[in-house]
Amino acid sequence: MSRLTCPGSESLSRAFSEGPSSDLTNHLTTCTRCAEEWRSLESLAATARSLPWKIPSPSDTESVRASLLSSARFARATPRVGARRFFRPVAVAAGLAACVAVGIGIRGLGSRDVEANRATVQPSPGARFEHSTWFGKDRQSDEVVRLSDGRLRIEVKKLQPTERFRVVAGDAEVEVRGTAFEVTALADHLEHVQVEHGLVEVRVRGAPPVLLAGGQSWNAAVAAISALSAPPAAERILPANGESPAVLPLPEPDRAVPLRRIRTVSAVPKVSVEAPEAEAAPAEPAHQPPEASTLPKLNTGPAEQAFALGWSALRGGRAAEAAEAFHRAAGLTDSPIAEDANYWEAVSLARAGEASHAEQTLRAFIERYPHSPRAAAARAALEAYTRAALKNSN
Amino acid sequence: MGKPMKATVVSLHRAPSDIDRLSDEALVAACAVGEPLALGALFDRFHPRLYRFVSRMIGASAPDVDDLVQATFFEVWRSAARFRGQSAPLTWMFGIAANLTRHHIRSEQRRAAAVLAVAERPSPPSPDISEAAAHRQAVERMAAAMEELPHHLKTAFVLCDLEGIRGVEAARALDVRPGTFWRRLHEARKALRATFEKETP
Repeated sequence: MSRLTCPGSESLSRAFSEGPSSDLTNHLTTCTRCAEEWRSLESLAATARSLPWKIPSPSDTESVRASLLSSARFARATPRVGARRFFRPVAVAAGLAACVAVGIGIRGLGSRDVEANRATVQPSPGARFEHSTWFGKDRQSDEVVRLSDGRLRIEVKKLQPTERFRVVAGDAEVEVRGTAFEVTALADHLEHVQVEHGLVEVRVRGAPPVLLAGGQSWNAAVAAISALSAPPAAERILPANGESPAVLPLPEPDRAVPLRRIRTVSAVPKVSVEAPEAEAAPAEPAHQPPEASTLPKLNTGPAEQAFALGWSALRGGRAAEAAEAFHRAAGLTDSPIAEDANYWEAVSLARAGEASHAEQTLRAFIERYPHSPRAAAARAALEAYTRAALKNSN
Repeated sequence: MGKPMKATVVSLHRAPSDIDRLSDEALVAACAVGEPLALGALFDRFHPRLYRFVSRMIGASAPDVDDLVQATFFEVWRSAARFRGQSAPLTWMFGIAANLTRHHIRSEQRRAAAVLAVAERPSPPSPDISEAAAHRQAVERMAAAMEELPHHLKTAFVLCDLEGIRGVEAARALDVRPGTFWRRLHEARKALRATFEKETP
């Protein structure tokens, strides 16, 4: 082994960080000056490591986290690669300003039940959520609970017209008008809403809002299946056993019009029918199946007849019977309505509570009709089933 | 709804979820596409380390640590798409925090306050003090010496000697050549030793 001459001070400093070579290690055992400098470096680092540092309190940490996530929602993650560095400080300043705006009045809570201004929130163990309240002018307020995972039971006192209370989960939100209800999310997706009493409005991006009354519930998997049918806004499948993805669509406030139940024919686009004009149809009471006389008169053919029977059963809340009828219609492969029948079979099965059978039918539908206009919605429904299965397995 | 006048944000219970099992790099990638859950997971994972780093950079008694840590994560959120994986995500975040603390110190003229703090530091220890008191005073002298360090030297020292980040990786995070980083680290140690030993009775 060659005898190492004393390394320079900078080399010794670098070796101290990277670890000494064997030559240097040997050298340090023989060279007093280098060994002393080495010990000095060790002492310096050890002393520096014992410097006190501020330990954040849990409540401060929670406040910073909540403020950060709130401000992040105002600013998109910036993927503008190559953006001029000049703008970075400006953007950071804007972000900080947003943080400050959101963070005013931050406080931490340690209790499991949150007594908000107008609501009591009881989370299930492990639920992940944030709660914020915004106060505007003229007594306006907007209380928002952002639920990522888990279940919350929420009781909201009667709200004034200027007050709002919402639960947001992913791209869906549940708005309350004074009620007690339970809401569940999984991985930032709204999964289930169960209303005890009062009124709750469920809004999911890309779907019409749904109004739930006491005793009714909304489920993402069922909603996904029913949504793929996409009948005209007022022509939604009626609830079965209180489990409804679309109990009653609520018109947008600025487009509030009297609900008019149009006839069954409008939801059977591929069937040749002799139907009255939708505009001329009398309004039907909500949650009532159509009268037999309002059913479309179909052209002859076993597929069309089976389809009509299936649709009638579904409208009457007899989902299992509907599924059988649609299955018969779908089995007649020469029929032009086989595709629709297959799809409605899946919907009926879902509404009958036969989840696994509905899932199989959806898979078969996608496989058989991969280019169907309904294929995308069917895939979405399958994803919802997968999420539900994951939830159950957990 | 009118202009918000007041906001109350309360964040409560969190339990482990699937996203917590993702790698650091995957979380940064998820931030790049605007997934707020990933930002929350990054925060949960690295908040203590970044908090300690910022606290060491601007001083344990500084009141702005929370703000800087939050600003760091906010910048992580905004810059996630620019992360190229040339260093570990934590080191990259350290680099962001170092830049933000530099701007902070400049804007607040914290260096002037540091000089003042040095001037007001405790008097040298008496020869017959106990070992514990001697250690405490050594730490105080070190704190004062650290505050005197220029920001770029302090960053190199804190990253390497206190946070245990490898020099080459730290250089990448700070966007400097490795040689430059080693030189800075050496100068930092030399300056600290000079100040520290000068104060030793």
